Amino acid sequence: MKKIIIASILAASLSISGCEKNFDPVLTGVLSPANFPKTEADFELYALQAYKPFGSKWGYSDVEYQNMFFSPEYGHLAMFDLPTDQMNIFTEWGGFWEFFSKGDFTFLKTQGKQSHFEKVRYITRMTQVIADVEKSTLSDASKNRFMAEARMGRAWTMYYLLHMYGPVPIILDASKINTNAESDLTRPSRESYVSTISEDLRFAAEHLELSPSEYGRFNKGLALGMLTRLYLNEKNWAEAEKAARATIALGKYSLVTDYAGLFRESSEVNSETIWAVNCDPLSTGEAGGNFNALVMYCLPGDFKSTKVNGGWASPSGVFCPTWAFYDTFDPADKRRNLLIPTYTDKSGKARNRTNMRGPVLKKYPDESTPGADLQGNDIPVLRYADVLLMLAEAINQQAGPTAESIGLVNEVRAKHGGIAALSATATASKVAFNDAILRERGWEFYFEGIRKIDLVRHGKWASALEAAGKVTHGPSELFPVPQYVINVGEGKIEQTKGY
Amino acid sequence: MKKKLLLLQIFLMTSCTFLFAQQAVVKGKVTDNSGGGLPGVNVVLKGNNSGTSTDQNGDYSLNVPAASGADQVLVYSFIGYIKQEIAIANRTTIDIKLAADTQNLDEVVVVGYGTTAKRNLTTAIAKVDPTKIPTSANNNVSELLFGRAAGLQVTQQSSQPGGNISVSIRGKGDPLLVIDGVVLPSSSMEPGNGSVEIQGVNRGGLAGLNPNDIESIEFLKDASAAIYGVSAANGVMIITTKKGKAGRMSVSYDGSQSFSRNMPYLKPLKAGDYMLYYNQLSKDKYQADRNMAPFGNVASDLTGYTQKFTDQEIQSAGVGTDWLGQVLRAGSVDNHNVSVNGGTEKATYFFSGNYFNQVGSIKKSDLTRFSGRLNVSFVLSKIFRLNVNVNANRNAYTNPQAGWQAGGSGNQGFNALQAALAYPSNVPVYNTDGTFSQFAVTGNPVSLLNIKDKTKAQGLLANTSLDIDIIPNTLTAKLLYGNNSEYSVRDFYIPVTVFWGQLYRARASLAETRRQNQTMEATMSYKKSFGDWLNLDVVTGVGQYLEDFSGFSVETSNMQDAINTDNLGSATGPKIVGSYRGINKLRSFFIRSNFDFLDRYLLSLTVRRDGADKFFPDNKYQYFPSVSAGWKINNEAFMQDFKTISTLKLRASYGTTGERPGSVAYGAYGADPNAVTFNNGSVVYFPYRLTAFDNPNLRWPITKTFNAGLDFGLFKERITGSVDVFTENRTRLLSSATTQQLSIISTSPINGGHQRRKGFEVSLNTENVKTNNFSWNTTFNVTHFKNRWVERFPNDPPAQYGNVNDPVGGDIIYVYQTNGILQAGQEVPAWQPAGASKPGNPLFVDNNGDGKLDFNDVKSYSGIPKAIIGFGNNFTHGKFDLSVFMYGQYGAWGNDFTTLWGDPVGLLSGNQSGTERIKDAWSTANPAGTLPGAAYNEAAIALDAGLDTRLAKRDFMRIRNITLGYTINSGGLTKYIKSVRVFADVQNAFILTGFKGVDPEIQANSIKGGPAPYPMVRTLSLGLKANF
Repeated sequence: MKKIIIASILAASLSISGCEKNFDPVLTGVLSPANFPKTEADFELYALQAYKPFGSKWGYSDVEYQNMFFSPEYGHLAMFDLPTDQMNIFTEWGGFWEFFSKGDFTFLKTQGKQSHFEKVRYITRMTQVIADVEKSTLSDASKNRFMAEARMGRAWTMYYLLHMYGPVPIILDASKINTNAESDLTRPSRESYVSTISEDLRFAAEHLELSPSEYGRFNKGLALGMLTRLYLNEKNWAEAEKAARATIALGKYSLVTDYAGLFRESSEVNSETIWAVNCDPLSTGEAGGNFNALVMYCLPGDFKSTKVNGGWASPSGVFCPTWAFYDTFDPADKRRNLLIPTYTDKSGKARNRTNMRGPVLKKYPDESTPGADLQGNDIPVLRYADVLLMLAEAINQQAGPTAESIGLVNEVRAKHGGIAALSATATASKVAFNDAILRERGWEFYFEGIRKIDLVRHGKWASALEAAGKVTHGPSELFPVPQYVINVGEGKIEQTKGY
Repeated sequence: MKKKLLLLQIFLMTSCTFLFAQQAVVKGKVTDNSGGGLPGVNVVLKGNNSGTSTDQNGDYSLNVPAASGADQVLVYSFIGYIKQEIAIANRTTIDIKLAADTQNLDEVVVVGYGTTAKRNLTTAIAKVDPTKIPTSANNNVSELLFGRAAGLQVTQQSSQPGGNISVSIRGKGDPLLVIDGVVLPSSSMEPGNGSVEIQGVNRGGLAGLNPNDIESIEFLKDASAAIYGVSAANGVMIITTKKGKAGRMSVSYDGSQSFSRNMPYLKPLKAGDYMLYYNQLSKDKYQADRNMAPFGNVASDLTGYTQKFTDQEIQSAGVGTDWLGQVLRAGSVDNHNVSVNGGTEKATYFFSGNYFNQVGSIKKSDLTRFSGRLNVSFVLSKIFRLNVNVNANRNAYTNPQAGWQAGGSGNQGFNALQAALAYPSNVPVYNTDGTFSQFAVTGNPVSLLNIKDKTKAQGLLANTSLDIDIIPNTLTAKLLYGNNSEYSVRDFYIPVTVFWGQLYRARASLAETRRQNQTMEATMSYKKSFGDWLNLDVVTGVGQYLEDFSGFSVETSNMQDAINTDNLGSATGPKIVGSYRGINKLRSFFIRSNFDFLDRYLLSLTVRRDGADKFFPDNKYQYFPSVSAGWKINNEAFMQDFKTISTLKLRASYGTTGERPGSVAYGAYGADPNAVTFNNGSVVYFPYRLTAFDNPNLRWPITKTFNAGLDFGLFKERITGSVDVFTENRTRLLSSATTQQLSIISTSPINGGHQRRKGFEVSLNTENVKTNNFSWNTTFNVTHFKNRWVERFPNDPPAQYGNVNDPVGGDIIYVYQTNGILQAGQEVPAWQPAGASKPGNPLFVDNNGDGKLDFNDVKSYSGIPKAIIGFGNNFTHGKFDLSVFMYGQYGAWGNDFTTLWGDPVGLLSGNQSGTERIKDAWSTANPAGTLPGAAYNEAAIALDAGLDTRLAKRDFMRIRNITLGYTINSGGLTKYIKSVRVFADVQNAFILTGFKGVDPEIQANSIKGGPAPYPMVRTLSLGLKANF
């Protein structure tokens, strides 16, 4: 009898513990969609995702070590400065450095998921953020603030992707998210793609703050400046002019007189820089703040600098301007002072034109105290000088050289270069002035991630590279779509022309 | 169908339960020659259906019809023993002794929730007896397993002390690990060392278990694993520890001293050679870069070129600094074990203690372990028996950062061993002022030894179970609670005096991890013999399994060397703090019924139903059924005339298993690990983002395994063996896979893909010579398997050069083929890549002859061995015993990334020296060179697949152990000691291989600069084993 009792107890315990209820998932370290995002503070954190691609670090973990737009590797300088007439070919490290510097992007066909193409996912993400903010119960003011940041991020990313791959497939309708529509890789028309960017930027310009209390956030000037860039590159001169004038009308910005100071840590916040990557002098480029490691990519290995005992590359920096570019400067141009034509190397040997590949690019001096190799110098991405020169170009394209447009260029030359006004021949015709503006932009914005886009707009990318001896440039100024995307594209996505 | 099967089983169980009625009871104990209780002996009433079997202590209790007790006869049978028939003669207690039948010895095999005689096995289960394997220099169970059983693939991934040894069944992932019924993680839990890219540790799991405490290890290879359902897709490794045996206390001591030496390692360039080859190749490079002849059309003009080293410097350089000698050393192991074993009928105990101290063969590399075990068992009453097993350990490691090749930071991030290869021999260890020398961006190898990198780990495995005899030897139950808790801390510090990562900066990281695994199970077992025609063995149970894990870490910089990680608060650098926690729960119900009809036909049915908390309610639970059957052909009447065949059994199994989901089906928002900062880093935000969508359809992956086998024994079991063939289909795989291209989340848990694994394995044991004074036996096993995709994950199609059904993952290597080196003046083939058109580049092969080089020319090589082999011979002659054991593999390809040390690109970067392999590089002075020269830069060619220049066969045969022993168990000494065995063992005596890297087995990944894996060692052990 006792045995039977024990047996029944056991049987009962078996069936009770075998019960399949009360078996909810235990999820740790994450927030549930059931209660996030709800409050204003929630949305504040949620909308901050908009900033993710716009930093300078080694990589970020959205995908496999995908680079940010302003990272030292695969960033705007590598993509838009190296493949231009201003920089030498750099073969020492092979790989993407060599090919970017040659202007041959064919190698990107086999690039993996660290490819910038993956940022199409970020576009979808922003579409979701915008939709979530829109249907929230926040005040209209808060909604607009968060949506403005998300739309700024979406537009800017779309702008860069446009200048890498041409129009890329995107999801702008939140109802398509997490459906099979995410597999439709049909490229939109350039017209609709560009109009999406412009709408986003207009919204951002309307609702972003002019001077956010947290330095580094997107601002009104950035949205308007990017709108100017967008239209200028689309050769919509009238709209470009309007956007540039709207930027100027903000009344906040003016040119500085110390060009070099724009790139020094001590004067990185100034009246001219509209938006810069705000770098943390203590950052190592990992999970924390942005860093500026450019000195390591610019100085030759044997160049003893203020704090850095030589860069990472030899015999020249990775970013090494050509002597030909150096020689285009007016010797009196103060902007040339950031290119160092002679130095004494660590072993005491005199280095100069005869034994240097090109001048040493020292745009970001290594002055900050902590750390030995990484800097806190902010990296300007949009400056007022750019807005002025873009306005000049837009006016010239519509009305030819005018006193206003010539004046804009001369203002930049005088304040930054300390040099005389343009010659009469340079402003003699629309074409001559247009060329002069391109040259001026070269001197003004070298190593700021703009040159290649400028050359393409002027229709001179291929010819300029060839003139600079880069005869093995690739078939297109745009990047090929990575093969892995083509493989999942079910034939819908067109490869970039030329590849 | 599955439900019907379950119902049938439940019906069978319950119906059988009610078969017993009021009867008389005969009790007793069955012992063997030594007096120890014999478990599992069948006790059957002759001519009747009723029967039972003895329990763990050899006790039995059988109901017999009371009225007919007088003339009844009991039949005692047990495999390996001579059957006995005893008349009851109205006795109520019958103790008997069974004599071993040496002609028909059979093993007992642990099958999960029970044991079975090997001859009744219907599935593929491999058993390894660790007592037959030398353990002197080995701290981890995995080290005993190389080549020891068919179906096992055991690979030494890292040879650092406590380094990872991957154990896999038929090439699958880590098997489920069960120790004395408790589910444990098989992986290590090594904490990281922050963001410093000098990781360098690849620790193995199971670090707390003393190999000397292990009684047996079983591997459930096929559908036999289905009883563990959910977690068993990779098979199950069951470890059973030693238990106390009733009887006189027995004490044994097992100690050894081992001496180890590094096996041949990479050969660095001597000082003169470094200078010579640097000069030669840099001149080539100068000319190649300028398209000068013979690399291009420009006339050679060396006026701008300056030779780095003068001829005089080269001649007077000599050998230079032996950097490897500064970092490597001879190693040793002290290993001492004491165990005490004994007990009474009411209580038994087994106690052991172990001290293991290993001095690694790289400086600053050690392992010290203390471990203790206590296994006790108490008979509380007639019905209850309480068992308690406790294992505690403390392991302390010093890490040389060379145990694993990780970190992509290149020369600036080198560890001491890499630095020793990178530093040219012409650089002295110290400058004339006594400070450390420094070359390029790499830290001085000797100074890098001052990095502190220590791991301390401790574990406690406690497991309590209650055996309940409801109906003695027929209906029993067991309640089990097991808890394994582990804690590990890594203490890492780079002193400010050490130049590393191009900085003199104090950097510290302190990280700890914890985890706990709980097993709670209630099982019932019913065993009954129905006369001669049926033996029934049913086990059923429920279980809940919980794992929780957590971690905490702090990383910072700029502090006093003398204080370092003792007070992280004193650091002035930013402090990066991290923590995490997670919990996973599983619930299970399972039942297995074994039927043995007429001692000829075997049938086993199991069903397991598992639930995981991480799925949605409709998909939480999944059935995992299996069926297996065996036919003991040798017991058929028609086989009785074939005297040469002593065992012949045909068996087959089919079953399903699952995989413990690493994925979560529930949507979530998580903090981005990367900060968004404003105000130059002073305002820090961690944005919250959607990391997963709700995925209600996510389900268990299902693995379906079919296995057919033949067990045979010839000439009275002088020759025994098994042959198995298997096919396994892994369907609706669950993995974090690529999502649709425009999805917010790039990878997410997806059910998709299908893989098929096929193979066979053979094991053979022979007693070649068996005389009174001499014996020789041989054991051999071979394993072969392939694992291919049948269907890929939806958004992960194969690369252009791949096929849908190519081998899975890292088991295949795709390369462009090359054929020699392009010589000066030789016509460049039309398909040669533009970046490889200068002399000294490898000549590419246009495989398909279409005149261009593209993905169609890529060839694939299998990374899976065609055969994995274990081969051992044991000899005894009088008191001497000798065993020689070897293992190896054949037919696997791999990349030898240590060739990067012989790549001119590395040498010419000016940042590293390299190995003698550079002497084979092509140069204008060495046009017969077989390796690419200065004009070659693989990165610059940017192909979509690698080159075959580093492809190497990983075939090898390693003599794992040569052991010679001498046993004294007679004479004057035995007054004090029962027996003494002295032995000498050489582990990794030598290796036969064509592989030129460090070792064909050890992992050496492709990393910037070149990998410098922890060297393999040869170890001589001298030891003594005494029983008191």
